[in-house]
Amino acid sequence: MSKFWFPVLILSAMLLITVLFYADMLGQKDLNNGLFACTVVWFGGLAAVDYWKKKA
Amino acid sequence: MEEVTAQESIQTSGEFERQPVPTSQLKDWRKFLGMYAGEHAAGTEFVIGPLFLTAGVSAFDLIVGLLVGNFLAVLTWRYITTPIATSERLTLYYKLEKISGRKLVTGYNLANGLLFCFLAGAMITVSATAVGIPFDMPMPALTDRMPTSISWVLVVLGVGAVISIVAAKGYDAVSKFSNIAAPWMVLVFLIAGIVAAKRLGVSSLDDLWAVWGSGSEPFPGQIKFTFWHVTAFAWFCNAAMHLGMSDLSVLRYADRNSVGWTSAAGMYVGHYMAWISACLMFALYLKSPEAEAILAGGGVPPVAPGPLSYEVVGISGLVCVLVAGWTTANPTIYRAGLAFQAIFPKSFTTKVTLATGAIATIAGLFPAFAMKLLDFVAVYGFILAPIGAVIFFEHYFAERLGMVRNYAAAKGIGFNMAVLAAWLISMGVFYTISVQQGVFLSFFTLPAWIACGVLYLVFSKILQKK
Repeated sequence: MSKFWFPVLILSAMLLITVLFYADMLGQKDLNNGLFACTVVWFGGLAAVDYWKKKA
Repeated sequence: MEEVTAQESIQTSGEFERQPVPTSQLKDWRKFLGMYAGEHAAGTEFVIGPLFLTAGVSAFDLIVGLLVGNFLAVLTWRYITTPIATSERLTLYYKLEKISGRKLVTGYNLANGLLFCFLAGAMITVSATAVGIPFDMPMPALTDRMPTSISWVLVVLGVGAVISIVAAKGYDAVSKFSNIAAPWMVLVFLIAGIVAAKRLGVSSLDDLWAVWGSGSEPFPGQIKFTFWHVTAFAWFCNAAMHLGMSDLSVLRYADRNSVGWTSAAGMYVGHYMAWISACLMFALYLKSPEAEAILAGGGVPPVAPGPLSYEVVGISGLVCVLVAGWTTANPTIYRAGLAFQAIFPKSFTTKVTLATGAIATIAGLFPAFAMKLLDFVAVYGFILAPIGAVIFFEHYFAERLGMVRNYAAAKGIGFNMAVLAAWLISMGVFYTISVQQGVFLSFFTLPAWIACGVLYLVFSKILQKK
């Protein structure tokens, strides 16, 4: 996966979670947990991508 | 508000500081779009949004006032700042030195550095409200001016120390981290606004009008904001950057004048979407039993970005407040350090940055800088903007009036009295009127700017005749 698509995927997931919350398909706790997971993946993933890019 | 993280990605420190940027180094609009969008989504946006609500602003005044004010700011960047930047291709400091002399630039740097320190202090305060949640720290109220508890002091000192050390030692790493965090941060701002709106029962503009309506009476110690207050604030909160020509340092790399339009990304992401989102978060908090009890008791609820965002989007919101505060305080301290170092050129950057961080941390201990941020930002723009008028009026009118351009450089003087007199008189007169008449300071930023430019031409004409 290219460096460009990874952040787009995470940001899309965050937006999707928000839309589901807005449509009453997710509760507040689900929203919070979903966003937190995306946050961890965002920073962890981008750090990993950066690390591999440097190693390559 | 502004910060310099992304700016550094365009402007490498030490490059072309005393010479025009060569054509080969010019950048197109794409570099500036991202820079402006990230630059204006700072930690302080979490405070400015709620402060509008405490000023009793109505929904219409806020939404339309911000729309108009931000557009005027974009026009100022496009038609005032960028044409001079692309024509001169010099930093503000070097251009100012050529007009006013080295000694006067030192005075400007001192004012600039101190104001940056206080701004960084407000950002440390914002971050401390996020760090303090696990420690059950009491949050400062809107009317608090002094440190409120021992835990507050300890948390602020801890946050300030970390930010200062990182600013002194690892600036590049934070700058890089900040660029990585920016898109995520902007989205968290947006999501927080959407979630707060949903929980307030707002699903259309009609609902927003019903919930928010025509505003309220301002909270104690705040003045009532109207459409004109919001417009003037949005236009001039970054007056130091556009009217004050601070952004010459960035826009001198622009390949064409139309690059000035990219400032719209910063205005409508940071100063529109983020402010309204933060406003909605605070509106939600005001509906909580805790806030209603405080208001019923005649008290003033706290404007604490940490708890506000935690309530709306959980830990992600907390991380967002911390990251927004940290990544913006860091370059602000760094930039203030550079301003001070220009005054003491023989001192080590690390030591100056640490000392600057210490001043910012001490400022952060006092919630007044964050809780009075609307006033502080207005003062910040008001003080620094008139200097830009000297550059603007000199650029367009000096030759037409038969005056020598870049007078200090041409005559080899270190101090151009015309600049100092124009700056002090314009600031002094309008500040006095503002205080005596109780008028919001941002209303006088443009008159002071014009007065400074005209006075500079008059004084220069007299001085140069002699």
